Amino acid sequence: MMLQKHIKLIFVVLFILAPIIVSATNLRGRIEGFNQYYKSTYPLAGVTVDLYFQGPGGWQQIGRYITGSDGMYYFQNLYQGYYSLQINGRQNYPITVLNVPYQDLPPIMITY
Amino acid sequence: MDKQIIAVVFSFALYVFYVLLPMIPSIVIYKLFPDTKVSATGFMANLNFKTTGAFAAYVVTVFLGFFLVKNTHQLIAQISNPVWTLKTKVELLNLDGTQFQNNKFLETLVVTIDPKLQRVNGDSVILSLPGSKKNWETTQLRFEIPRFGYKLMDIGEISENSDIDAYELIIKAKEAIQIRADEQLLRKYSGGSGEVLTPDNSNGPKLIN
Repeated sequence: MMLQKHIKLIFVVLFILAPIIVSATNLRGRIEGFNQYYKSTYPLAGVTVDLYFQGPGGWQQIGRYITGSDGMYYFQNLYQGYYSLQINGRQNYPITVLNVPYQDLPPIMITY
Repeated sequence: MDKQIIAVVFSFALYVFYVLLPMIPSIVIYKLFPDTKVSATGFMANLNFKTTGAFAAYVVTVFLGFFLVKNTHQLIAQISNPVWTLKTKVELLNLDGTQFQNNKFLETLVVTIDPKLQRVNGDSVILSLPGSKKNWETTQLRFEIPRFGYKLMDIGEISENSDIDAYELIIKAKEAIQIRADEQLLRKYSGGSGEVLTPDNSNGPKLIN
């Protein structure tokens, strides 16, 4: 009887603490293009950003975002760990997602 | 022949078959079992009907054929609303008119269409969607207000709670798509401090292109 009470208490505590212990991260970054013709940098629209996570069966695509006019991309509810961003299916960028509510990655520069 | 003309011909042929084909079983019934009393009563399209004899067999066959014809009509409607594919090359020219060779430059090309594929009128949005129904689950729409919030949905998800007119090819969502303010979008982007991410293709997912 006492044991059951303790188990219930543990479950209640874990339920309350769960969002604190395992918090999801909202990730964002920007794709910038360096235009060699005009020697200027500006946000790149229409870039396909694929997010991959290395699972037991290898790399698995878990998200896709196509940048808007501000060049920004967003991925929500990610867990802490190692991921890879693939830009237009041509270039991989390894990243580390931290255990913070919001994370801004440094921009990705594409020279053309 | 134009696809729209084909669709009209198919539509007409379908109607003729729909009216004439059910006559076959009713004639067969009339010939083989002239004395059998067949009757059908029911309620169809707000009309009560009561029929007997070979005509009853005809009515039943027409009624059963309705569902088959409905699906076929949807397929014909899709023929009359084809999606065109435009294939063209794009060239870049320098200020002096000479050709500027840089294919990476072209990757940043943005093509817009007028009238736009999307029309916004107050809180109503009308979108022209490419492709057929089989692509609904993989066609993703992003409703975004820059620096406020966004909502990602695939067409299949939207269609679950919509009135679908398969003949006119219209999906009319019953509920509004809600774009919630996102705290992250309201915060200033802190990633632009001179540092940039470094590419590394040696260890990562397989490249697509």
